[in-house]
Amino acid sequence: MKYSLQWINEHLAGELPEISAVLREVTLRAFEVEEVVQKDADTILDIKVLPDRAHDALSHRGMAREIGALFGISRKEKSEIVITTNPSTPRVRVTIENSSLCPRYIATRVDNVTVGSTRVTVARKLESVGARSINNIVDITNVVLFDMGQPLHAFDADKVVGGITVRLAKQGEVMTTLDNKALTLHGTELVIADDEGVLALAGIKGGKKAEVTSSTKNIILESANFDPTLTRKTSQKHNIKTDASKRYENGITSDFAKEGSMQALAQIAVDGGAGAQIGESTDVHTEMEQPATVTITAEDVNHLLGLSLSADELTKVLTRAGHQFERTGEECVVKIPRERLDLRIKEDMIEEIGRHVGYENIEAKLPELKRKGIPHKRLFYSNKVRRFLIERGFSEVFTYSFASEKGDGIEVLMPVGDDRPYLRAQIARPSGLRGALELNKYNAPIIGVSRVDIFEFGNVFKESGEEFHLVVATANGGAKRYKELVGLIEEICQLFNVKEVPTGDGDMAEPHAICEMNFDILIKDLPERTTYEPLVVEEKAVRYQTLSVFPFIVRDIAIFVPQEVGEKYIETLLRREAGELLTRFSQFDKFQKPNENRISYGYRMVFQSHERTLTDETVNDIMTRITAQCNTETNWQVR
Amino acid sequence: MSNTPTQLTGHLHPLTIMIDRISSIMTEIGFDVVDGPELETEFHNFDALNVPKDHPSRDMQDTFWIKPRLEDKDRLVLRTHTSPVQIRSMQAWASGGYKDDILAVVVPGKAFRNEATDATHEAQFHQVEGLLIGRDISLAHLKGVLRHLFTEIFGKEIEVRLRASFFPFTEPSAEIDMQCFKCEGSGCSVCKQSGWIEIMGAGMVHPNVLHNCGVDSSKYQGFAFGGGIDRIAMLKWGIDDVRLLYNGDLRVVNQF
Repeated sequence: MKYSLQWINEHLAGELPEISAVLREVTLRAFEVEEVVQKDADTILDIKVLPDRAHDALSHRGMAREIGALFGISRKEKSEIVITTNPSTPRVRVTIENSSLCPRYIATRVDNVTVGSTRVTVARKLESVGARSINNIVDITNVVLFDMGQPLHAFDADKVVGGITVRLAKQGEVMTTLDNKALTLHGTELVIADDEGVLALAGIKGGKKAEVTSSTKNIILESANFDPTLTRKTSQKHNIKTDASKRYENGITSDFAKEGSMQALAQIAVDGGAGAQIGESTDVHTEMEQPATVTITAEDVNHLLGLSLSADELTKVLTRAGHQFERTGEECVVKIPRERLDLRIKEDMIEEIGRHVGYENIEAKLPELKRKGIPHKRLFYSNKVRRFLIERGFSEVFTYSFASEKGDGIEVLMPVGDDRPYLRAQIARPSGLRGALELNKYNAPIIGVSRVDIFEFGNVFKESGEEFHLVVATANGGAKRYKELVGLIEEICQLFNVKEVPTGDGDMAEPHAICEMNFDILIKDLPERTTYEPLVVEEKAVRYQTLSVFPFIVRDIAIFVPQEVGEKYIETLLRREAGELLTRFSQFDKFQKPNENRISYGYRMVFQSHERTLTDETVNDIMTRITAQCNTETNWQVR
Repeated sequence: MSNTPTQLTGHLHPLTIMIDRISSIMTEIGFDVVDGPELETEFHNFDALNVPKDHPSRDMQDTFWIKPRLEDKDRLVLRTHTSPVQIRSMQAWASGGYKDDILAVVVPGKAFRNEATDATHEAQFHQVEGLLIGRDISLAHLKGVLRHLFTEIFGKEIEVRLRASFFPFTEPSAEIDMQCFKCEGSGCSVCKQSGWIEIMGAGMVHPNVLHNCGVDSSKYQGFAFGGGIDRIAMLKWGIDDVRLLYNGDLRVVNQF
């Protein structure tokens, strides 16, 4: 929600410190501040309030109370509101059909209002927090919403036929929202209706039927409390999110309804036109909330947070945080503010105290568990196989668990892509692994490998349950390589003295060779391990090079060089002449004929740019330059 | 520019290297490495973790639910975090008589979320979960363990800080920031000039969660943390696109 710092200050008796201090404290102890914008003399803070604090902090007053508490600044309480009612203004008839869905509904009729433009200061205030000024009456309801968190709604009383009923919609019932959206109701929504039809989607959006317009003379002001779950479901079903629904769906105290109504009526008395006559409110309040208390001791706090507060310090923190409590000996019985629906159990209160004390004041302590942990079997044994496969030149890949092949038919309801709705029943089966083989085969020159050997460990999903598999694969392997892979699996089995080779899900998969096994079967009878053996004993310093999205070009060069010339000299020369576009460089050949005093070298050079697609001409130029340079060396000959 | 000729040895995937590091560090201080199913029940993934019945994270658009099969007794879901393994570990520990009065586990594993993929978001990713339950485990221990873990992973003293937050499964809850390993807190591009990097969610296990696992919450308490392994790896090594970790690209793997 967007908060105006000036508006927040209206609720504080003292002065806040400079903005940077406010931001720091709010960030660490309360909420994430997403954006800070300077707007004229005001500062607008966009603060993310999570569901546990939506009950109290989605308003300027709530935020002011929180920030004030962080700095020990007391609140500025508003003086008690007195409303002069007019006996000739009729009361509104209110019926609530299901009180658990609407614990409270207050309706007040105000006759003879003048609907017109709003005061400039009010309009600015609303605009500063991203709302739009509509007219004096609607603006009053919105100011109250942003000020103290109670959503309100005004109906044109002359368009309401009979009384107001809060009920579930009838299936197929229709309404047009204030923003002219036609809704057909499913029958699960809670609505506000008159004797004729739907006036509003309860707690979410008003309807066109009883809209307050410039010609409105008499209004009905609604201030109510609605069920959070149903509000959220309805809001989602019809895809309507409003400032009101955001507050109701997290739950707010029904006490707010009375307060919000009083505030709005008091303001209507001032800004609603000279002749406005406020009637008696109808307040149907069937579901009362029990006042909550939480009993807590300093020991409770210290035990969970690892602090060492004394009972006196605890009471100081509670006082500063603005809580009312009674202390008897060590125990503090905290009277929870009515809007703090998040504070119900001891742990909630401990968090409240922890935030105000500051988590930075908790001293980090490494627990002494006096033992070494043990790895799970799959990890222990798969690490052994990883080590083995790496020594054999295989590199590890991870591919996706989603598959286009039906496998064992385990299907995701809303898949990542319509082409991959299933869970893999084999690692080899989804196209992921084959894709990796193809990709790496294509990239082999730039990777600097002559053959692509890969493996993957991962879970697969079978009708009978989940299994942990190993797959080994070689690009362009064919039958010969497939045999090698089967041999490799056999060697792995021998590593653990397992005689019977678990049936691998073998797959020739032309042109690739892929061999898969159920690793769980292999390790089934192996003993549990008692220590973890690190896979990487000494970590390599890696300076990761981002990949170029542009294609590479491969060039080979073969040269005769006198035998007394060192390889280092040759390589330095070639690299220097090749320049910055040279991405990979390797020697692929070296031979010397008997009785000859020169050696033939073969080098492979791979060129690639991070900025552009290289053309053949560019690389040809480089090769010409290299050749020319080689030929200037005594007795060198580029073949 | 690399100079390696046709290499003779293969390479480990960077995620494996990170999981190995975490496993080494955590077993060294007494945490067991455990795993659990990737296909979970709604109970283990949500209910037991005190996630409200109508919580948005249960929505279809955020979670991969499995098309119900005749034989399924529970609604099945691809686990959205490694936290269900917490639940399974606590259930086993409590029903086994609270062995040693301490439960210390770390869970590196794959998790899934139904979100649009881009350079920093993937539908599948790896998470690491930590859980320590005992008679006197406090938030101070959480701070101690995480500071130790990050210091060891990044090979230099790393401070952690806790920011107030909210998760249904912990109370108190906190976002964990680690001091930027690059600039050591002075502000740089890695930490967006803040000196801190948001890296995990954590807190003290909510009494309802303990209760749901059959753990006596009047005697036992503890902390849990969870964060993305992919993200830690990407930060540490400067990998710029998470998708490169899952397409089997050896141009990435062979750099490790």
